[in-house]
Amino acid sequence: MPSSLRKRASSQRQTPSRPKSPSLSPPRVLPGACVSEGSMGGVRRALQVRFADETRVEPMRDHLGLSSAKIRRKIQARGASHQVGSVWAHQSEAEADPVEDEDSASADEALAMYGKYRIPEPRARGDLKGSQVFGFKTPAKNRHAPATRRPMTKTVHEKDNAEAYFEAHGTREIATSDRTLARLKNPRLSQAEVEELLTNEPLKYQAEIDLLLQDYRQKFGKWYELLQRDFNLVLFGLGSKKALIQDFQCEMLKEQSVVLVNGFFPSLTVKQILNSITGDILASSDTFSSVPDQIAFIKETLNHEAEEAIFLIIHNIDGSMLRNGKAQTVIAQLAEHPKIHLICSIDHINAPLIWDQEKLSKMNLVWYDTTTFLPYTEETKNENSLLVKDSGKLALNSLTHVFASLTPNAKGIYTLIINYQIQAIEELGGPQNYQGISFQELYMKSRRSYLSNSDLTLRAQLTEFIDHKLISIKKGSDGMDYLTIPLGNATLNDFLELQR
Amino acid sequence: MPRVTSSGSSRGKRAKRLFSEAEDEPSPPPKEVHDTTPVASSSISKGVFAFPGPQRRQRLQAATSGQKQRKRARKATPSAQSQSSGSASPFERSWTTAWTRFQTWQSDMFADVLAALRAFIQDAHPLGQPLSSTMPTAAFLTGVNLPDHGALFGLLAREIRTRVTPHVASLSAQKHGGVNLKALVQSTVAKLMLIEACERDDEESEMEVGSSGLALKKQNLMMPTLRTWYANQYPVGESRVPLVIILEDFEAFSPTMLQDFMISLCEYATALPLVFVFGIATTVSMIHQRLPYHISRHLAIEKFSGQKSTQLLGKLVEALYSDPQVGCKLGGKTLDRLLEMFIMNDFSVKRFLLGFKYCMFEHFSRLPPPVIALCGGDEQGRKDHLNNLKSEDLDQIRYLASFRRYVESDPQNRARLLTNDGLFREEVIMLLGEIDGHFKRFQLCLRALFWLARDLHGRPFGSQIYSLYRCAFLKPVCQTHEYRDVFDILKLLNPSELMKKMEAHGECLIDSNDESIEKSSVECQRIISKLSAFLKHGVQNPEGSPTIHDKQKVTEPNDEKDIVVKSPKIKKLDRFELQKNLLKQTQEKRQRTVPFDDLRREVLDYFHNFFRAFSNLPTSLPLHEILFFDKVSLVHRHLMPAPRAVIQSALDDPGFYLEHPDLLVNTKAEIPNSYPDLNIIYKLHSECGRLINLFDWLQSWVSIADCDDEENCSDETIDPLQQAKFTQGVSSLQFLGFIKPSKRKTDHVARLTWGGC
Repeated sequence: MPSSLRKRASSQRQTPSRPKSPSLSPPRVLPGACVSEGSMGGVRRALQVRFADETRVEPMRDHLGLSSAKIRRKIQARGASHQVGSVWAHQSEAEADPVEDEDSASADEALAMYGKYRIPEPRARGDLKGSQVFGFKTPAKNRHAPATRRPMTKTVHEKDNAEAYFEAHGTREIATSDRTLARLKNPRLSQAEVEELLTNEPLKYQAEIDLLLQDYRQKFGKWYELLQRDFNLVLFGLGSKKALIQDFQCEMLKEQSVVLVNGFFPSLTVKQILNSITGDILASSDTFSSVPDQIAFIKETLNHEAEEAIFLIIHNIDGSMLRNGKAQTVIAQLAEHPKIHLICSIDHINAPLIWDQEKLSKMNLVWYDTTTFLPYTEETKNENSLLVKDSGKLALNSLTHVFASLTPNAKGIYTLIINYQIQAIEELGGPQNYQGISFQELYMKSRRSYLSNSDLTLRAQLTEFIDHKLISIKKGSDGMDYLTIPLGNATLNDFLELQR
Repeated sequence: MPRVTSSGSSRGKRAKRLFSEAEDEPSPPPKEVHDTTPVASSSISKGVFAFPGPQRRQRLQAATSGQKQRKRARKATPSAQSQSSGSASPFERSWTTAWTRFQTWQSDMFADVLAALRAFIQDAHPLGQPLSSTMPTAAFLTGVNLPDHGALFGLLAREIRTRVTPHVASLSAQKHGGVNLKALVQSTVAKLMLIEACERDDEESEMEVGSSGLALKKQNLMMPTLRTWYANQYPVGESRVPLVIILEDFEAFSPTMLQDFMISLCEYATALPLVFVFGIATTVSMIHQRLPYHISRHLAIEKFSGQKSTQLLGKLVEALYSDPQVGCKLGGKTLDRLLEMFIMNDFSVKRFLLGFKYCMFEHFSRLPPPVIALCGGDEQGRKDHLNNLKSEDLDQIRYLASFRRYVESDPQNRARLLTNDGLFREEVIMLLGEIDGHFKRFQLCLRALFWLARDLHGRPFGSQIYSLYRCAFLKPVCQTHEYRDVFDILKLLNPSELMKKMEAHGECLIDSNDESIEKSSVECQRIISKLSAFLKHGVQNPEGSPTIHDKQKVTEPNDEKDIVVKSPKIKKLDRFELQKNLLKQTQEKRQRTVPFDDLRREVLDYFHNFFRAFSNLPTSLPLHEILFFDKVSLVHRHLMPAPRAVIQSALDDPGFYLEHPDLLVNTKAEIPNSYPDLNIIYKLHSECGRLINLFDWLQSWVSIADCDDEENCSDETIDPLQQAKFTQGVSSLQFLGFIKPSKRKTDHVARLTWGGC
């Protein structure tokens, strides 16, 4: 019996301290298994009756640990007859009930509990095993008939938000299992692996999504007219809207000046947007000391009759860098101008909070529900996701980019480090033993090849490398700084090849 | 240099694949290999991409050769926008009318307070006296509706500039609040010294200022500069032109910066004739909260208060309905929604108007083109237009739902109306004229009702006419409970009050030249004369008119008899008898009719008949679709949407958007594996509590998604593809804001929303 289960049970019986016995936890307990508790008054009451009888509970608890698999099987088999409420009436296996063994009493108890605490969901695989053992056939897996997961409780859905909030925050303890991803052979995939795996994976319901998109595409003309009449557009709804907006741009704005902003880009600033408008579109080579000046300049320039309108496309205007009030104020001021047309998308569920009345009235937004169900591939790429391996791994192409912008001396220093690292790792026979190049050694080497003349300049260079995550720095056991490049030898060789 | 990453291009491919079928008619835009193709919009090193239009691209190339060409190009090409605005569509016409109405009224409404402010600024620093150390300050209470204030302060600045002094610095926290004190002072000084645009180039930054001929750099724009400049410009004793500083949104400035700013200006109180105008949205005490005593003692504050925006809206709503230039009128539900936005959200007339603009846009873009010209305009124009229409175009009018209903209810003329174009044209003209006429009467009726109910106790219809419009457009006003309230109160009025109401009502009707209104007007006059006769008698003969006397005579003898009979009994002090008698007496009193009662009943009946006759909804007439826009769902969806609800419902029930038999699962509590991946992951997540164990989540995901290969899976090894899908799904949920990483327990995430799926 899972510890969380037991705790619950004891708390209901108002006996606060019950010794925890080491028990097997069932293989797949759903996290937060007790969400549904509060609403299941009936079940709880029934349980209380049962639990009130201490003598029955004790043996049951003993049994429970060893027989969770059997209970599950039994649950499967008896599903229809022993339902809690009437929530899980299906499964053809219900007719046959060959599982009659010594655990049946405790299994019955567990049945009642099943509705309350989510004992692991039987996977389809588990069912099959059970049926093989006991010699009855599971229904053939039919691709067309969707395999459904049985519902937990009906009442979950009847709860309102407030109740659910207090329920979730009512207890201090966290009623989830203690298992971690470390149990997996491969706990986390890297971003590259995820991308590679998903590239060739077909999208579910492609045809239906196409229909949806076709619907939206029919509105392009209307959107364009709305933009022409000083309205600005916000697209919201589930699914990436980048492709849709891009399509709009291709179709309607081919002959227009467009500034496209990826709001999800992690190092985006408002200044970049303004610079792009003044520099790339208005062809001004000026520099501006403050943002208000720049906005004033843009507006003033656009006030000239001959200037054509600018379309400002912002994918994810609720992106992490644009979420703040200042950025939105600037965007609102731009969008207010009759010759700047804003098309943006929002995805975060709390996104509308970034605008207050003032900004809303400036932006004059018209909202369109464009639910696309397309995956947020690009948008989530930059987010340091929970499940993505955070190796700090530097992709080759980003390395080449940053490298291209370095000064010749810095390039030399970096190549020095690369060469040293490749050699050292080869000599040591693997990256495990490689500590890195010490700062002193690097300094000597770079001085010898006239790449830096003082300790300080070298440090300045290194800071730049660190900022761009080109190297990582670690203190060794001797107190010296050791520098490593977070890339494998193969990649580094590739890189050197590329540079030559 | 933007570079498309590998996955970006694959995504592009997917998108292309997506649209390949849809893009039949308009051929897909050629994907240029140029650096600025729209496709190149994802990069790991850049977040902003510019795609200059062809005209700009030329100019960009020219820009390298010199700035002069650019200017020439600017002059040479006429703007496309101005050309398009030359031909006024009904939309443009309606919109410009509404907008100019709004602006003129805004300036009208604020004319008084603006004049007062102007006078205040003019008299702030009289010429003969030395400058005092306290600076005159106007606290201008504007109310909370911030979005409209931009226009208001623009108006104020213009007014002061033209009438009092050219030296006005209008500062708003929106624009200048973000910068530091130095920049704030610089921009203030620059504005006061009439330096137009802020310098961009080094060459341009040195500017000739006024007649003083000072060459100034931006760095030098400080208060001392202002002082010397002012001394040069206006020598002492000759003239004293005030320098006006307007802080548009006083509350929005950061307090510390504001204090520093004020302190630095206080230094120059005796040298410069400074005048402040603070735009305050809340209360005057805000000044004392923001500025401590040592600063506020330098200010001589005078209070001015502006008008409420509800008044402006009331006027505007009435005008939007009555102006024939505005070819689109709001239906009841739409008006209700827009007013709700106004009252509940922002009190901003501007936003109301923008909402109205959207409705107009939808109205005109949804009507079939031949019909649009029928919106607004006079009868002759409509006739001409209808005569030009072909039979197919007329059919479009026939398709209108209300017309179909009209035709079906009239079986005699049905065939003729549907086949005979000439007859149909006449019928359309007639029906439209009927709508116009009815709507005029309807408006008049509402105005009359509003005047009637305006100063009644409790104001059943609100203090502004828009709330009456709101009621009356939703259902006939006579059926509303507010209407009943009005009549309950009217019953309590005394004769002279009722007379006043009647007279005001009569005045309302006088201007109208409508037939049925005139009839009521005559009736009204008759009742007025009756009432006035009654009043005259009442005044001359306080005991009552002869009629009253007669009636009293009828009833009195009984009373006397009763009293005579009862008087011996009273001595016995039978309580029950007494009670009975008293009850009887009161009942008799109630039954006793005062002549005013008859008259009052007549008046109220008149009112009721009047309102009942004209308060039919204009949206119930045939062909009303041409003039009235009442697609409230559009307003709801596009102006006041619920993005979060949309996302959650898409996650909950994908079948709502994707029409596929597998997705039409009725029981909400199930998680079929036919759902899209993200939906399954979301549904699993919504079954959890505050924290979610990633491992368990992953396991339950696999148990649903991966029902194909049973053998080779265990807890430890997971199909990488499933794991990748799960990873992608979890990232998406994090991106959408449903979960966030948690440090409370390893490999756990925290939920950010509550409740089950």
